[in-house]
This record gives sequence, structure tokens and C-alpha cells, in this order.
Amino acid sequence: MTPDEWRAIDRVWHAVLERPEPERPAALIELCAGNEALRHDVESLLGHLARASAAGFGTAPGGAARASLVGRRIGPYAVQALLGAGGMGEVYQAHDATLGRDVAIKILSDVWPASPERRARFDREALLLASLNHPNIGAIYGVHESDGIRALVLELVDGETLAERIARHATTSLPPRGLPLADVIMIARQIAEAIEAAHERGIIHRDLKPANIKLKGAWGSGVRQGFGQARRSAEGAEAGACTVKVLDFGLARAVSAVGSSNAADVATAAADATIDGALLGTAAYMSPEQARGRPVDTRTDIWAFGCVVYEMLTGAKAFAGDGFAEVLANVIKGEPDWTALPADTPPALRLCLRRCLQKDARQRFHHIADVRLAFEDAFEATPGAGDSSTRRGHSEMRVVYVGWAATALVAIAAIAIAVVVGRNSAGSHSNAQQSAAPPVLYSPRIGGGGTATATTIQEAMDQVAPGGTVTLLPGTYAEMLTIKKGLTLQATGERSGAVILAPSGSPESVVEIETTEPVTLRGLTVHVPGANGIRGSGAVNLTVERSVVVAVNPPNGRSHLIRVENDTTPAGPRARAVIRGSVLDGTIAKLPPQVARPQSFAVRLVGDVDGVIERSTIRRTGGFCILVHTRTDLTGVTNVDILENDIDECHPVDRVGAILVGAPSVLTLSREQTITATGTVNIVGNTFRNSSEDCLTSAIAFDTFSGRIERNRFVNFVQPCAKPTPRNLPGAIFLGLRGNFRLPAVAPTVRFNDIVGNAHAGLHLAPNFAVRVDASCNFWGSARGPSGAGPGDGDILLVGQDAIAPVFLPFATAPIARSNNGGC
Amino acid sequence: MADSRHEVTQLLRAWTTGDLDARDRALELLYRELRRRAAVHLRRERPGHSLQPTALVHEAYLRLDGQRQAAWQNRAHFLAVASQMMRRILVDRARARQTGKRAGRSQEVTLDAAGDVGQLHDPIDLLDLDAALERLAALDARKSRIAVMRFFGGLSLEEMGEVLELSSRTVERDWQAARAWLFKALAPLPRRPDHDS
Repeated sequence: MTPDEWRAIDRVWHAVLERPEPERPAALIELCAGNEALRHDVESLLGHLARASAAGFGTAPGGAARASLVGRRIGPYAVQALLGAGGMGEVYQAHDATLGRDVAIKILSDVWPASPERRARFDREALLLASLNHPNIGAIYGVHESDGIRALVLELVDGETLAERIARHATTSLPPRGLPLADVIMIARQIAEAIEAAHERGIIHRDLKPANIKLKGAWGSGVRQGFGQARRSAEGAEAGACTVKVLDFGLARAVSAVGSSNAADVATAAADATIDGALLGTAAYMSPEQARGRPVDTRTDIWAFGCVVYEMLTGAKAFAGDGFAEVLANVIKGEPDWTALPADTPPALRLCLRRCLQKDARQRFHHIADVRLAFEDAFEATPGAGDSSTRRGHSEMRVVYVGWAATALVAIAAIAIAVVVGRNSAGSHSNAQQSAAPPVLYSPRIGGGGTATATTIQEAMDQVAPGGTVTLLPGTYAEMLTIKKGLTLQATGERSGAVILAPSGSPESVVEIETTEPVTLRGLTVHVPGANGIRGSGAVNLTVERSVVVAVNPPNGRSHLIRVENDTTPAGPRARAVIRGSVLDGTIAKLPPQVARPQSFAVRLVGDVDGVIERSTIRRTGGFCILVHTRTDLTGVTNVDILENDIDECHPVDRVGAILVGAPSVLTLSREQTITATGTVNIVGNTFRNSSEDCLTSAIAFDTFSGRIERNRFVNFVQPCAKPTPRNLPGAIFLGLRGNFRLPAVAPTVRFNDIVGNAHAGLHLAPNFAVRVDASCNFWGSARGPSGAGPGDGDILLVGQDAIAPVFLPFATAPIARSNNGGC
Repeated sequence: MADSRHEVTQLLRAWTTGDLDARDRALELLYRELRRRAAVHLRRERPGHSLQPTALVHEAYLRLDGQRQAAWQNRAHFLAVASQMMRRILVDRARARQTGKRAGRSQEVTLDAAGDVGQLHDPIDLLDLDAALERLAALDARKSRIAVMRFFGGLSLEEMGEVLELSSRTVERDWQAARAWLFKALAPLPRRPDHDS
């Protein structure tokens, strides 16, 4: 069929469908005007539409909200009340007239298998689940179907859920804390027994969580009996004669060695429908293998059990986060806050928990019975737990015996944990050797098609399509990277755990950009042990967003956290550098004047660059915090915006300034050379502090370029100890060069700044400074000028010999940088 | 879930302006919506090979992150894009599986689990559906787009009308045409010699 033919069909189709049903045959004949082929095609299509409708083809399931069933009768069940709505469907309380008991019925909404064969399978599955008969498991009575409604019939369990209990405790105690230890042990043991019974029948829960656990019976009665009369019981253990019921084993999938597709299949379909809810409500309890989408076995329940116990003890989730992706990232890579466990948590219990929450399932307890026994052991070891117990009695011998076995087990666990912890605490570098390095996700095709994983970042970057994305899970990556194509390298779940690039040794660069295509680094933490953190040479196009770049034992020579230099001769295409929302930390403390200090820069942009440095925090550099300079041949065009940054503790080795803008080192500059480089450097909205009171000569030393220095705040920046340098003279802002260098006749405007508390000049113009600068509307700390430390020095401005005096009036009479209240 | 519509639109606007929390929340809601609404349900996957929620989420993130700059006009617009995304994810998966060890059947899906009436005899092969949508697109791009929105995003006629700036009546007729065309292309009926030349 050609598009033309189709258009003809389509035209008739629309016209026919506009008519009421009975008129359509006649309309069709009329519209086709004797074109039999056309009429035949449209007719055929109408026929298919009728069949498609009959088959429900393309009808969205569950589109309309199901009407409440309360008051209705479904077979023998009189529906009484809506208990809740979950991923699978609504749950009602109903009365079974036949057996004279109340039940819960869970309506299976959209997930119903279509074929009779599959229904039979589901029935078999339900039968298996119904065979689970244990006092700690909410029973599944069976499947009921009538009036087009299918429902699971379940034991009705009264009482609050464990989730509600934990929440109640957390809100009624300050600071929030977990349940009393005695309660925790009692509840945990019953949960373990439930899981044990299920596992023995080859059934995995797969969705164990506090919301699926009901507490039934004499809770809160104040009866204090039994095991686990721990120290904390004085705070009010609620555990009395009570029963724990684990619900929703209905979602479990049979662990069946043979039923690879058959039996497991239906449960998958059912579980599939619970994904929505499961993702959100269950993510926090998913095992790492579940979260990674790998096959699971009984150990997945052991993980979830560990999460539940942790939450009972602390009142907080073991793995939390904003949004499910973050939670999952945390599950895969994060570590619970072990310090949150109450101080009186028995050591054996702590070890038991750690053993449950091992990321690598092989390192985890394999059998829930082992967990239960370890718990009993923990209870035995709990001081003050030696008094009466209704539960021990005849099983006492067994407990003692296996208690010994569990102790041995726990000892083994302790060794394993010590190794893991040791690695973690030994610092980021050694983490690389961990076998469980997180996988690296990348999109293998242009346009982001598909996902693949790689074992190293470099491998992923080699595989990813140009312009693609490589996503890193939280963890430490001991790699140095060479980026040779445009791509985005980003952390997932940025707030849940750091993605740290921490190469071993002292590589020249941690990240080297060797492409002119756009490269974005987002949400990363980069440890810089060598000369450069992120370096691009030539016409690179680099964006660093929401990242942390931090020096680690910086070398004594020059080093840079981020460096982009486009200084080739002859000049080629321009480079682009954007640093946004990041933290750059040089980790250099203030040192006494005579002590050599590493000359490290946070950001260095050189030559033909368009740069933006905005909303970033820059701290503790040994050199300038920001260095922007011309090409070494003093030509080219440099444009940089430095906006809204927070800059403090810059310790430049020659004390020139926090920001240096202009010519390369003045020491190599000869007076015969003329700077012909042009460009615009705007420094707007920044805050400059010098909280270590280092003897910096200036906050901004600005030799050349045009631009604006506006709306910045300079707070107590220039100290009395500030000294002249070969390059400039003391002043919060110094314009020009001290020697007789030939500079272009350009200068920035200096307006709307708060220049407060400087011991030397607020603005200092170099001798022979040949441009009339607009320096009006600044606030100088008082109506008279900055606080001074000596005659002449504390003036608002100092004008070098033969320089042109700036426009100074009017000046603001109140702070103006963040508002217009200065009356200017 | 009932009134997340307004919320999603607001979140999308916030996302457009760079609010990443809004993005995460929007994706979360989106995911739920898509799962709930998509007419395509995955079935009969081998254990251990099922399309896991995590994998899907990761993919959604990777793909949607590329859309960071997109100006989401509203929820319908977003769902329209997302349904295309959903289609690609599912098809990519099916294709990857097909080129994997197991030859033969690719991913099977059933279309519409709602009615008891006359289901298609066998589950439809997702790749067949994808190919049919491609062929339809060559004939009539708008109808193919509508079908994608419907099958993979479960958009209502009104929502599709909003996206395509068409009246919902027009959308409906287009949708019926697409539906009939696809049904014909996919249903294992004996071919008539005088058709599909």
C-alpha cells in the first residue's frame, strides 16, 4: 500500500466514522464513489476494528477505578470494609458465611492471567502458599473466583503493623529511637521462625518489610515476662504474650529447582503487578542482588530480615534516601549507620546484623535458622537476661548447644567484618581492591538506547556512544581517566553516597580531557593526589557540575584542581569551561610566611577560553583560588564569568590575591612586551573572605581585560600584615600592574560592592593606570571609608602615581551588594 | 494516585528549571503511572531474566537524563515522551534477548489483560508489534505515534489530543484506524490474496 492509497483510505475512514453506526455502510459506498478497491480496504479495516474491539486489543487495563466492593457479596463472602489498597489490588475485610469467620480478601485487579492454563498454574501456586501453615505466618486460605472477580482469601490479622509500631515509638521519644531491646529480640525471633517455615517449603518471601509484619495480641499490656529482660526494658518493653504474623507470603516465588518457567512464572506475573508499590515501599528492604535485578534465593530474605531488625533497634531505615533510585543506590553501595545502634546492643547481635547485611550474598548467613540461633545466642549473652523465661524449658539444652555453634559462627563473621571495615577505614585508595566494585552503567548507543554495564569507568567510556552517558553507582573508583570522546560521566543517587574517583599513586591528572566534544562531569568527588585533578588542554568543552574536587596530600610544587589551557600557537578553536555548583578544596592550611607551601590553584583558565565559574565554594588553596590569564604570547581572547562563588582561605604563595586576572607571571614579563590580549572578565556576586587572616595583598588582582567587578562582598579581607609584591600593592581590589608594563587601555567597572573592614585600601590603582574607572556606588564599610590600620592605608582608595583618578561618587551609605538599600 | 496529575505537571515544570528533586519525584510518579497504565504487560519471562524494576528504573534515568533540558509542557506531553521511551526499553530488551543465546521467540507480551473476551490466541511478539508500528509510521506517522502513546503510555484520548493539538474526536478516529491496522498486521489470520500486495 502506498502512502497515497493510505491517505485516501484515511480520508474515507474519518468521514465514515463521523457518521452514526447505522449510516456507515451507505456512507462508505457514497464516499468511495465507485472506487471498489478503496471501499474494500476501508471495509476490511472496519472489520478488523470490530475484531480488535472484541479482543480488547489495545485497551488499557484498570483504566477506570474499580468501584468499591463494600456491601457486595462475592460468593460466600460478605464484603464489610476496605482495609487498604496495595500494589496488587484492594484488600477488604469480609465475612465468610460458610465457615463463620472473618477473612481478608485481596482483589487481584489487573494482573489476572488470561489463559486457562495460566490460571491453573496460579491456582497451583496459591495452593502451595496455602499449604504454609505456621502460627507466625498470615495464612492464605485459597483463591476465590466469582462474578468476574478473583481474589485471594487470607487470614484476617488484627493489630498494628511493625511499621506503625516503629513509627509510633520514633515519634513519641526524643531523640527518636528504636524499640526496647527485649521487644526487638522477641519480634525478630518470631519473624525468623516464620521465614524458616517458609524456606523449608522452598518459599521465599521476597518482600519482607515492617509493613508486612503484624503484631497481634497482648502488646502494650505492660506484662514483662520472658526472655530478653534487657537493661533497656526499664524504659518500657511492650512485649507481652504476643504473636507476630508475617503477611504477604502470597507474593513469594517458589524456589523450585525444576519449575524454571512453570510454577515460578505465575508468581512473577503477580509480583510484576506489585512492582509499583514494591519499588517504593520495598526498595529500602531489597537485597543488593534484588536491586541489581539478579536472581535471588533464600538469602534475600535474610538481608530483609537484617534491615527490619536494624530498623527496630534504631527507629531508622538501614538504607534510606530521597526517591527510590537513591534508596537502591544506597542498598547497592551504602553502609548502614552502625553508630546509630543503641549503646546497649549486645555485641553478638551487632555481629549478627552485620552478617545479615553483607552485600555479597555469599558472605551472608545462608540459612535463617542460623540467624535465629545467633539471635538466641545474642539473647543468652544479654546481661540481665538470665531471669525467668516461659519459653525456654525443654529446649534449653538445645539453645545452649547451638549457642556454642553460633558463637563460633559469629567469631568467623567478626573476622570477615574486620577485613571489610579495615578496607573501608584505610582510606579510599585501598577500596579499589574490593572485589565488589559497583558496576558502571552506560548507554551503548547514540541517543541513549539501552543500558549496559562495565567493570571499569574507562571501559564504559570506551564502549559508550559519543555523547552518551556513563553512570556511576556510589563507591570508590581507583581509576585515572582519559576522556577521548564527548560524554557525560555522572553519579547516580548523588545524595545517597559519594562517587569517588581516587587513583592510587600520584598521576599527572585524575581526569584528562582529550576531546573537543562536550564532556560533562556531574556529581563526582575527585581526589587529587598529583599535579592535576581535571585537566583539559586545547579547545576542550568541559562542564563540571555539583562535584567535589579535593586535593589529597598535594605535592609541594604546582598543582591544579581544575585546569583548562588553550594556549596553542597559532590560536585554534576556543575552549569552553564551566564549573558550577561545585566544591573545590585545596586542603592547604595557612602556614607561617617562611615555610614553603604547595602552590596549588583551584581553577586555572588560560588563553582562548570562554569560562564560567559559578555558585561554587572554593577553599584552602596554596596558590590563587582562581587564576585567569592570557596566552603566554600575551595575545588571544579570554572571557570568563566568575559568579556567586564563596571564596575563602586562599593562601597564594606570593600572596598576590584570591583571584588573579590578567597576564601570566609578571616575573617572566618583560617591559618591552605589549599585552594585546582582549576579553571580558566579570566578577559578580561573590563573597571573599580571608578567615585564616593570611597576609594576602588583594582579593582581586586584575591587570587587564574589561568587565565588571560588581555586587561582591569583601569582608575583613586585607589584613594589616599585607605587603606589596612585585606585581601589586595592598588593596582589596588592585587594578593594573605595579611595574611599567604596557597594558591595553581597558579596565573593569567596580560598582555595588561591599568592601568592608580592610586594613589597606579598598581599591588600589597601579601607577600609570591609564583608564578612568567607574568605581561609584560601592559601600566602603562606613560613610567615611574602610577601617584603617594607619595613615593612608585605610583609605577607601589609593591612586598610584600618574594614574587617572576613578569616578568615585556617589558612594553607597549602607551595604549594597545584596540589595539596593545603599541609596545609590 | 488519583490526583497526581496536577502534581506531575508542576514537578515537570520545576524540573525544566533545573530542580533535580522535582525530577526524581516526577520520575517516580511517572514510573508508577506507566506501570499502571501501559497496556503492554510482560509475561512469561524466565526466572532470572525478567525485566526487573531496578533495571527499568536505571534505564529510565539514563534516558530521561538526556531530556534534562526539555521543556516539559505538561504531564501529557511527558507521558507521550515516556511512552516512546518505554517502547524503546522493551524493544531493546527483546532484541538483545533475541540476539542472545536463545534463538527463536523473543519477548512475548500480551496486549490488554482486561477483558475475558477473545484474547488473541497467542501472546504477541513485542518485536512484531514494534515492526508493525514502524510500518504504520511509514504510512501514517501520526497514527503510529498515537498507537505508541496508547500501548506504551496508556494516554487517554484527551491527553493525546493535548499532545498532538487535535480534538479528541479526531484522535479517537485515528486511534481506531491504527488499532484496526495493527490488529490486522498482527493477528495470525489467513491472508487474503487481494491484500497487502
